[in-house]
Amino acid sequence: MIPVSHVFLLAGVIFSIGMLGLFIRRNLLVIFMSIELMFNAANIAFVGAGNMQANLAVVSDGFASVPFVMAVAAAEAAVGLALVVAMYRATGDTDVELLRRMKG
Amino acid sequence: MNLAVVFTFLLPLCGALINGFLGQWFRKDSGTVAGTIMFGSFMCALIAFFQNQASPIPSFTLWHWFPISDTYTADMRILVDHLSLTMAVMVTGVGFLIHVFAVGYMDHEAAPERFFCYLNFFVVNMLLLVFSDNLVMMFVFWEGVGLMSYLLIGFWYYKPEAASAGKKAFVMNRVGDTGFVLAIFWLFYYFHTFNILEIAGKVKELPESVVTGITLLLFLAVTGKSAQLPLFTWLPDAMEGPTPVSALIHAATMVTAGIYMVTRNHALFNLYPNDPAHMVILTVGALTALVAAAIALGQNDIKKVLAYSTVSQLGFMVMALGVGCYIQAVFHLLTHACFKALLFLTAGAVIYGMHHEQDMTKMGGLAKRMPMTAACFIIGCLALAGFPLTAGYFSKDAILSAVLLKDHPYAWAAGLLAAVFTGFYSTRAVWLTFFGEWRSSHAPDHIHETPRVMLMPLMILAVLALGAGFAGWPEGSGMLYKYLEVTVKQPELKGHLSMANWLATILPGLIGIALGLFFYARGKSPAPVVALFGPIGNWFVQKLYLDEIYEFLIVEPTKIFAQACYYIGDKAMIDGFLHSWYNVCAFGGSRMRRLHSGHLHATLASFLAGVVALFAYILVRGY
Amino acid sequence: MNILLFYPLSALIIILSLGVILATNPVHSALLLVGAMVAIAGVFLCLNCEFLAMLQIFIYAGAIMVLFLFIVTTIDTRKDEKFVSSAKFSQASGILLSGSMFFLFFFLALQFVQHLPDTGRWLGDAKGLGELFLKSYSLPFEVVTLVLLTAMAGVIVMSHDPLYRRRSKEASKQILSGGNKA
Repeated sequence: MIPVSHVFLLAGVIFSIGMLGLFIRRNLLVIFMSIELMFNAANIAFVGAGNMQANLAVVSDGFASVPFVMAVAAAEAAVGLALVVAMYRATGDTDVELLRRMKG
Repeated sequence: MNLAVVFTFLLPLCGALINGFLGQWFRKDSGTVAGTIMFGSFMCALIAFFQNQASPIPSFTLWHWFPISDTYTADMRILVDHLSLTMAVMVTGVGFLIHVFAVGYMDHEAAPERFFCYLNFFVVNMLLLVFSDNLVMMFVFWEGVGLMSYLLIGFWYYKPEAASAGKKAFVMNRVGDTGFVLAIFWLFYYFHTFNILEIAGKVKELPESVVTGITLLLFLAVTGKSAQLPLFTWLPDAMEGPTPVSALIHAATMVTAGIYMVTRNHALFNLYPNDPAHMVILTVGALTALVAAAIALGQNDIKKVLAYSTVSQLGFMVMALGVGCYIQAVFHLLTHACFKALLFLTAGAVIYGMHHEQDMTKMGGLAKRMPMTAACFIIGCLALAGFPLTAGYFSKDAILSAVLLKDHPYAWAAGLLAAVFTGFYSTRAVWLTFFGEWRSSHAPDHIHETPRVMLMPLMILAVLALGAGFAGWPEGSGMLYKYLEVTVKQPELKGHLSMANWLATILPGLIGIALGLFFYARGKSPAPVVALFGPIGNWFVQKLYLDEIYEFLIVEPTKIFAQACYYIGDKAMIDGFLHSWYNVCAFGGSRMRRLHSGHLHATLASFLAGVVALFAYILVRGY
Repeated sequence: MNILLFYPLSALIIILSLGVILATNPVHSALLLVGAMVAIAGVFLCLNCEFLAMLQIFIYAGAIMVLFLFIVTTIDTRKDEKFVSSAKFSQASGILLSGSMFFLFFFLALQFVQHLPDTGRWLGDAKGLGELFLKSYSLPFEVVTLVLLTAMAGVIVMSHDPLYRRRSKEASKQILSGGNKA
């Protein structure tokens, strides 16, 4: 008898923590980890919503979305980590403060 | 679908494609290919001509082009009748001879296949113009011949004069073509069809003012294409093109398209024979004949003389149109095609022999060195001057008598004076070129008789220039009249000319020739025209200052207007507007670029600010 | 039962997540993240989803985080990291934004008043999800495969080091020659 609102609240908290991590960290790796946290927050919300939806049936759209999110997260992690490696090769560091070539 | 007719224009099309796409691999033989194909086309035209004698060939549709209204579709439709077949035989026949001549004339050319491709394609366009069943199709090929004329005038595009002459021809023809398009639209407004024969059938429904308007617009097109006053100045300039082009396009065929077009639409012109439009046509024709002949008196360039002579002869044809005598006009068109093609080709042969010298004052005494060419040129000049029993005599006489019988004595007198001038400048051209002393600074040793491949067409054309006139003799009931009367319905001429009038119609040519001989055959060095005519002669030499007048009246104001448009419209308004926007954007950009600090955190913050705003909006609005 | 585990697990996840973003050593961050993943799998179990919980452990804790740890150990990141960005205004506004994001989630969550029933059975089993993927979600499923393929190709292109092969060849040559000498 878990209230749905609490599940969503948990998701919101984790999402906000992930977002906070994006801003307070300068290490690219940890920034990617924060993004993974945000993905997981979304997954929690999906599972909660799927439960809400799946009162009678066994499966629901909410559950089906979770593997998709995981697949996208895996792709993102692979590309992101390749970027980290590329950046490390180029600069010898993973500090995002070094990436300022996009300055207008 | 009649195969002979189809092949008449399909063969030159194939020739154009072969020479255009494959010609570079057989450069030296491209002329032979084009000439052979033209011979086939000429044979097909003759076959079609005789088939039509046996049993009339019906008109047929090549393909449906595009639907215009629910009831009418513009078709590519071939109209076969006596008029179009006559023209087709003339175009292919003269075209064939000129192709043969061009094989010799262009033999030093680096890329003759381009020339022959254009020339063949011109013949296609001309034939389809002649065979057009409706006005839209006719207009398309009317423009087609104009395009080929442009390309061929500018064939030596690296010469600036040739390039600008082509441009001039194109632009001046546009003025006339505007009239053609407007006339087509006007006719469609009343009849909802472009078909020439359908229009001819229904044309009686039109009020007089409308017919006058439409015929005047059509005549505007004629003044452009057939080089009449005030639009004729492009034709002398068009002589910058190779001489076979001048012979084929600017003497024999394309410039007569206007005459053909009026004859084709004769039902429209026949309707109100006394309306102002006919007065305009007659006046323009007579003035053009006279003015162009006068200018021809003062020219030293042999091709320019022939060019003005062409304009003058076209003026005669237009006079005939103005009095509603279409068959006489077509008769003169045919004989003129023969003797003017002959004259141009002989001039071309002379120019070829003289290594591209066109100034008659630097020639002289060539008759001894190229007797056959000289004989051909003299025959052509006799026909042009209207010497009795030559081709030009019959047709010009037919026109002048028709004008007099229709009771237009002033136009008749102008025609007579033009005929005197014609005789004079023909004699002058003959004498300056072929008789008297050699006047060039170069030695004349290298000048020989024209090569045979060029001489054969000349001789055939010379025979035609002597004999073609008998097709229209006796006047009003000759072979050609009988043949064309089936198609062209024109009011019959009433009354007969008195002996004195008849004599007056023969004599001018003879007087002109006599005058020319009197002034030029006496002395060893020819007197310049200015010396003969005084200050008026100077006017002739300067082409009546027509180019200068146009320059002052039209070109300069247009340039000033264009400058004004450039400074006010382009610089001030468009550029001003755009530049002010540019300044706004540049200013905004210089401020906005501070947002792009390049910091990942700044980018993230702005991105996520958007996400949060969107989320908030959805929450507030409800989902 | 479920409700008894849910709140402790939630607290654990929040603490571990905060640890992820606050740990100075990336290795610690990664390990804390692994813990968070496992705890999230526990939350899934509380929500009656055994299959998704298993996926969570396999893919996140097992695959993705191992990938992270590989990279973390490959590259040398042990240096003092300042938490303050040089784009201070952006950083401050970002922190404010994440706070406001939390409040928005808070208000969103408050709008749901239902309680999840204890169904007593597992939801979202492999058979049902498989049917769903092959029927109504077949197109997105295929698209996701393409996304993965593209990501793979991109990673190969990006991480391709043209010098690598030569270097490794030289290295192996050295090793081999050294071995011969020995």
